[in-house]
Amino acid sequence: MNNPGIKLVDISVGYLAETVIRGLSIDIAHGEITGIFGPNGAGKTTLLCAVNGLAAVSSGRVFIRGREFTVFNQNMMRRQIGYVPQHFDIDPKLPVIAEEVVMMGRYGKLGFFRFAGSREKELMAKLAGELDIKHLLKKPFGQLSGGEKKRVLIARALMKEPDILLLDEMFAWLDLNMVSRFTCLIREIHAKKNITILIVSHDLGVVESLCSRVIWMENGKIAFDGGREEFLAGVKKKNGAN
Amino acid sequence: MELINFPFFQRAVIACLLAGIACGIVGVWIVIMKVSFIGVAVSHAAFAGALLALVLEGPVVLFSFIFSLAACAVLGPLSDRGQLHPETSIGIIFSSTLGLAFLFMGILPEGKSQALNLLWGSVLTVNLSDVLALAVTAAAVSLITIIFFKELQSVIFNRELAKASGIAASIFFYLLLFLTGATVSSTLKSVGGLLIFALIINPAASAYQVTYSLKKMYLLSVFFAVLSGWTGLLIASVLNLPAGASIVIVSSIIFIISVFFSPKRVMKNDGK
Repeated sequence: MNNPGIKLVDISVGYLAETVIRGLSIDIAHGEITGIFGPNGAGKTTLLCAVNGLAAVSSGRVFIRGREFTVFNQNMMRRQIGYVPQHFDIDPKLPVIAEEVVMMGRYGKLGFFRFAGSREKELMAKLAGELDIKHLLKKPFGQLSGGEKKRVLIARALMKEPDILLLDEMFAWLDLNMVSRFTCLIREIHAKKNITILIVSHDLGVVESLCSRVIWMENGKIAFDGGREEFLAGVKKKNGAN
Repeated sequence: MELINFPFFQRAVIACLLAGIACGIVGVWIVIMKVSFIGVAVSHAAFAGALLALVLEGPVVLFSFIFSLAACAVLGPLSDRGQLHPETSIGIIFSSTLGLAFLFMGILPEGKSQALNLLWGSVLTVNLSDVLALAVTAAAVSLITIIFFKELQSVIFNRELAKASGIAASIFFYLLLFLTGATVSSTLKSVGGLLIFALIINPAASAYQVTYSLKKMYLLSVFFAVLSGWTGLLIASVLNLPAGASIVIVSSIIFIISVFFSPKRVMKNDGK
């Protein structure tokens, strides 16, 4: 592939004794928006975490932008990958405000002995405006609603201006207005910066609005990998048959 | 207050200040990361190490430091990889180190008074080298907190997200454990193996009740720890009580007061 984005070669991933993903291979070109769908427990979140190394890959190889992800370069690799987790429970009393949570997304990229300057503050202000979180920035993060936390975490992921964006159930907790705004924002970022985006979701609306490619997972393996139209036609056919 | 003119009391006052700085900062990490179990196990491991030093007539601080590091080396990976539930790990380490401590106490060649001093602490008997060890620990803990403030903030907020941001979260987590071990070891003689953990947790837990700012939490935690140390020392001197126990009781009272006046408690009662 001329412009490599994410390449997984025969990977297996598990937690303790349980193997969640077995011998899975995917090749995603840089700039693609790929939706990962499937039933609960299919291994969608594990796949996302295999890409940024949060889940330990027991066998196989992971390549990001053509470079192999290893224990020696994992921190450098992660600095180009934005990640929004599915769940994020936190003590409401925790001494951290939303503004700090957003800025933490930039800390890895800033490196040692450097603190956020005017460029980082401008970027945060821009993202806060786009995600409508300006009024939340000074509030304790733990006291925000589920949807507000999600927006803050999305801003956090975008603070590192990533080449690759991993979104786990990104529309969960968001109201319809925010779903629409965030969809537009993702399209805009993608159009401007041509980043690779992986979206884990249960919402087929995401396929229609954002994805150019769809991967359907079952029992830790790929059951379908193809274009949006092909996937939607298959869904319609299946629904018609039922 | 003619006590202040005595060198032993001056050393005790300085020891309380330095122990307060180290314990106050370390406590913030432990309280926010909710890894109190690690602190308990580390402090008991340090106690066992100190007792072995007495048996072998070796340096107390060094032996307790090695034992506390060994406990961290076992507990860190267990906690990091989630292989064992924290309660299981603490159960094993806590009981093992306590067993070792009593074993060493049993084979101590001479009287048990030295061992009991380590158990209850004796801030009034700290010597110059103890104060020096405390000074080095307090300086190291303070400097690392200032230099790596943003990395430590990310790690104690959420280790997984810190990793995802490209921060070497595991290295920083082990650094925090290492400094916790160093703090417990250097404070052991002044506060005592049974009580040291309270001086780490209580001031930080008190600060946690009253602020949403991490910087303020660090400062308040240190302030409460030093206040506990000095007030406890004063009470112990005036009423002829054990200093370590007095220090911990004062820190517990500060915690109760902070819970009572906590703005976070008021918000909860408002139904927010």
